[in-house]
Amino acid sequence: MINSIYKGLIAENQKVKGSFTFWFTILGSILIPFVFFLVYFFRHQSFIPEEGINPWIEFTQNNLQAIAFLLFPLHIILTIAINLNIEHKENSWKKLFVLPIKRESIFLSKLLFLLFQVFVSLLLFSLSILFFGGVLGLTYKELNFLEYTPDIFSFGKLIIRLFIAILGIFSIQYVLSLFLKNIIIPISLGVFLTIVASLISKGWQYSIYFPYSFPIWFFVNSTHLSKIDTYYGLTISEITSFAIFSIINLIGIIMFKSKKIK
Amino acid sequence: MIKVQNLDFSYQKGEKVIDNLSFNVPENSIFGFLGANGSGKTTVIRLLLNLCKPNNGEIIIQNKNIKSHSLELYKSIGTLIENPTCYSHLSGKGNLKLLANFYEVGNYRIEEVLDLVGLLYAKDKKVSKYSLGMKQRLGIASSILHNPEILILDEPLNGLDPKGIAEIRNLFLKFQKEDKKTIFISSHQLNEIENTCSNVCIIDNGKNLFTGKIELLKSQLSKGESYKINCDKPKQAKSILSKAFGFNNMLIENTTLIMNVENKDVIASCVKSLVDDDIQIFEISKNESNLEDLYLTLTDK
Repeated sequence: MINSIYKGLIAENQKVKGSFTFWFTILGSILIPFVFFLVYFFRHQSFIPEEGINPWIEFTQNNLQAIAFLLFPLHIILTIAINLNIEHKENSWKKLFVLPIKRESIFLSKLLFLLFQVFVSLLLFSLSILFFGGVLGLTYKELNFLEYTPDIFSFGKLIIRLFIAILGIFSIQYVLSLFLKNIIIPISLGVFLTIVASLISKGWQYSIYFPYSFPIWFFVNSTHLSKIDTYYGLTISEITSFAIFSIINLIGIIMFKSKKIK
Repeated sequence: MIKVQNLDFSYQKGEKVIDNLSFNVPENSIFGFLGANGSGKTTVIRLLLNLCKPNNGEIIIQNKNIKSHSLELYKSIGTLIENPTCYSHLSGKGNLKLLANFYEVGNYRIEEVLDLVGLLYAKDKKVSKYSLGMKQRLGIASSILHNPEILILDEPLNGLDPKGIAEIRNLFLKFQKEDKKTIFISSHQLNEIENTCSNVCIIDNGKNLFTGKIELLKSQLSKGESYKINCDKPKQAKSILSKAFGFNNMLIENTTLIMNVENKDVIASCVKSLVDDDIQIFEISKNESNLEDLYLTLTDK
């Protein structure tokens, strides 16, 4: 099984190389840090920090807020849909299902590869924040980016929390995109639920259990993490995200095993 | 090699797509699977590959039930189902590399199969720039990549030009004769099936109309022998023979009269009768019925 998953991962990597989804992952990840770079670059006077203030904190917070509220869920929805559409478009399921590997291995290798792709997106996002911050520091010394260092450890922890927060959305979108041939349906459903989440998250207490609200709750909680209840270091939304991820994928595997080829 | 027994299948309740279908594919044969569009050919192929589950019946390949031994059997089966499946953003070689990964075959084999199907020159070209025939060749290359003992191919000659058809036909014959493979070809190109296959199965509306050697089909369907008489006045000849011998199933094609006789001895009397009535005969030949005639006779019944 592990050997089959490994082969599946290599195949996924070969498939994605040079495809639209590959460039989408890269460009989508650096888009927001680049936009903030342009804003800081052209309006640098407005962002000169007060004495003793670390400019990296505001810069990273701005970037995180922008992606957590709308853009990162959209990025995931599109990445998954575009990636799996390669199989739907070419109707390659019939070829995949006659390979000498179990269907579970196909399901899991695709799942792991997409998770890796999302993680790489977050990594690229983080690195581009550091890169653009550094460039701003070199260009406008008064922004003080070179005077202070970013708190890499805390930022890394936030990125991991964001990754956990999106697992719920990820699993729902993965299963939808896996089974629905028409790419428009999982994308529009995902976008609709993301918009609903941004509307209900502040006013509805149960939105902490709504997967599409988890990235929003991640950002809200990240500013005062020490004041909220956590279990083994995880917030309610993060635990629910893990639970949804496990349940949805379990159902997904069972359905995938009996998927009919037409 | 492949045994299909009492197969029933329906996509919806009460609507039988495959109805009590049975046939055997002998080892080391090229087996033609014939049927009109919508007769259930592709469904049978899906059932053979365990991509659909039959309602009744069983499929035994290499003495193993496909239902319980599918993963094991997939190692020794090469497939082409309907249109070839290729990732259009990858090159021909890139597509085969993907599969090579699962079958654990090396780069050498990829080049070898591309050469066999005549695609080596375009190995680095993106599949999106391939013609339909090239995609079909790539589909065949992917089905033989792991050197399987059995090939199950659905319309493998679709989209190929006459030269391509001849090349692929020779390739199949080579696989059968030299590599001792068993090849199951579903097609509606009857000429090609007749040129390539030794055994056939003809289905209509999911039911088996005939299974066996083409010669057996010919002997079962032909009543007596058919002859062609090329002469100067075919209409007059028809009327003379009708009066003299009571033939009523004669056909005229241009200057040729086609007639069925019980045995060839009657032909001499027919010729004498025509010559006596001043009919000039240019040629007399036996009318060999081809697979297309037999197929049409069988499906019209």
